[in-house]
Amino acid sequence: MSKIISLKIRREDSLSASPPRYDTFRIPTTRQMTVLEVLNEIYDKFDPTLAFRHYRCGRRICRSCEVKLNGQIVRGCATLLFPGKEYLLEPAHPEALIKDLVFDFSKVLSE
Amino acid sequence: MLTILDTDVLIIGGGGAGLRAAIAAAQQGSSVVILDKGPVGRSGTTPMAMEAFQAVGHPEDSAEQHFKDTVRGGLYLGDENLIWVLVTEAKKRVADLEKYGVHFKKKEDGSFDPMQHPGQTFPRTLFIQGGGYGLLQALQKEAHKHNQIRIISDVLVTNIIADKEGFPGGVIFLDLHDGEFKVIKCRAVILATGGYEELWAFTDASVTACGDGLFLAYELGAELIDLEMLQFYPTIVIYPPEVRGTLFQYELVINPDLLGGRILNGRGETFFSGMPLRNVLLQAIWQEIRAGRGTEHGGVYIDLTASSLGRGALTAALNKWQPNQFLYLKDMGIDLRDTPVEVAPHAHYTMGGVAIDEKAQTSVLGLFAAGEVAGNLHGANRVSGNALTETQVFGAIAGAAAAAFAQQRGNIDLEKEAIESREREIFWWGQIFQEKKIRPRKMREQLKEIMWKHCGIERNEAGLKKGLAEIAQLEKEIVSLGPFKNDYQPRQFGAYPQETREALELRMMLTLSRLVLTSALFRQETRGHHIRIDYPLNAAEIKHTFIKKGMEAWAGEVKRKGETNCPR
Repeated sequence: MSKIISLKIRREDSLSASPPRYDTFRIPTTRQMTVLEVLNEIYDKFDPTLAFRHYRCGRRICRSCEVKLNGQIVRGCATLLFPGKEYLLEPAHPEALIKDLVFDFSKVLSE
Repeated sequence: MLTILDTDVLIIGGGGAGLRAAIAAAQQGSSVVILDKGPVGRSGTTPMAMEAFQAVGHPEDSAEQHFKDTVRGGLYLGDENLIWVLVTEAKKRVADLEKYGVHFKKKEDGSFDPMQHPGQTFPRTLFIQGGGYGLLQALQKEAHKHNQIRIISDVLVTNIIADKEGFPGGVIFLDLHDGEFKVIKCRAVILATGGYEELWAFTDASVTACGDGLFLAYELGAELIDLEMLQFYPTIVIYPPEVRGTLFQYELVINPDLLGGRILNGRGETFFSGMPLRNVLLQAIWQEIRAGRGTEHGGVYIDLTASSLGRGALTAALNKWQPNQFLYLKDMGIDLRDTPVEVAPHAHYTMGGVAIDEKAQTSVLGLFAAGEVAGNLHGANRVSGNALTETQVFGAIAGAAAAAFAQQRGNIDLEKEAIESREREIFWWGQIFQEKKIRPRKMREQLKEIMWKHCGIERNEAGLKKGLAEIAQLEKEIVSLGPFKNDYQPRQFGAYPQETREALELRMMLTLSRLVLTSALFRQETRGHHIRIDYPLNAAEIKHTFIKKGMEAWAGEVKRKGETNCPR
């Protein structure tokens, strides 16, 4: 039986004057999925303009896919989302934002 | 198009080879710019590399033995002049890395503690703490000490432009931060872009591994070599889907001193013995899967549940030898101590690439290549541990050689026409997909399927020809999207234009797929990872496959080193 993973994502373009907005995506699935898998699913099937880093080092070590999930910074490749639940996704470092979930690592102060 | 910088040495790719090249060039007094598709330090293939760095560290071992093992392991297709450089420079580069802050595993007396991987006569794998990622952080820190090195992340290089003298004089790239195409002028170019595993549907390599450097070199007229030689890593996790594509090192699993595990077929039986090289284990696993003795999802099992070490020692060994993999899988609900995991062969490393000489010089003067992008070092199979060694040895050589070349050159004059003629093409690629609402990623997936199906683990003439026809069809579909516009409007593509980037990657991948299929068709023998079922034997004569723009593929000599006496 297919259930829904519901994901509210903060959208903002650093080159545009428009204020940030929040888009909600509802992903039908029968299984748990990683944040990165869900983002790929949204990009493929719902919104080609969603910006996130597709890279996966395969060892949960590089932090390229770091995002803020329900207020906590996590690694997208190694964090599971479960059917039937709702989540909030924001950029891990909004002060260095490029677009949506992508930020400029060289401008992250805590690095 | 805005020219934003003028530099001596321009390096494409900021992984292990690119950063090492930058340090070497800066030490010669050159100004350096590094361009990378992602954030340097978290991009490319190096962060995915295991802990293995091959260099002599055992008292009875020698560079001569490392040489022989590498020549033999590559099925005698590697150029021996390059292999000799690799083995004789390896220890010096280890010393550099230690200065940069890389930690190798040591014994209590402070000496190296190498472990033995398949194909090594003596234990020769030095273990890097933190793996390829750890290596990269140390290199980046070292590069930051040089003021004349400038690192630019998140850009895609689309063209290398020759200057009036015919040498590489600059590059055009898409800046993903603002979606603008820009130009940098330079006096020498080093390719350090890694491999092209992303051409295949099933790979554990990085999504960035589209073979950019090979495409750029080809377009500039450089010779490419042995493109058919793709290494399949035998044991990549295939199930569950959340962790598909994760590499687990069989070299550690089957070593009774390290993890003491087994590899079993779908019926729970063992099907090989000893410590096979990657191409040998690949064939053994493939035979089980083909014969219907695979697992539910079409692989075999890595099984540590009955490890000869016992549970306590196994936990310690996993934390010691594969800590990232072990903890990652554990986070995802898979405890290797309790459950066998399904694995299968995936595209892992490309032995083929841009042909180089001992100075990392390609066949185009002023264009250098180092690391996986280069093509004639490993031959028909890469031995475990030689990849990271290659990045450091040839990165350092390329950096010094490019700096020396750049120092002989004066001001660079790029013709306006040379840039404008290319603008039309890349703007077309950048915008046509959006205009027609076609997803480049869909076409990329089609391409990857074609390559896996017709140029995967088993190959034959009919399949390879079919692959070429299907790639040609895909190219036709794209060209029919709309004519190249002569009255193109230079434009910005906005912040982080992922689809534009994918379209421009597709442009490179299509050409490269055609070259790989052509090379695979040309090699009418089975050697290492190139398995031709219509030519199941090794050919009597061992030759390279060369290819370059405007020419058919041709066979070339493998460079030999007279005094080695390796049996062939």
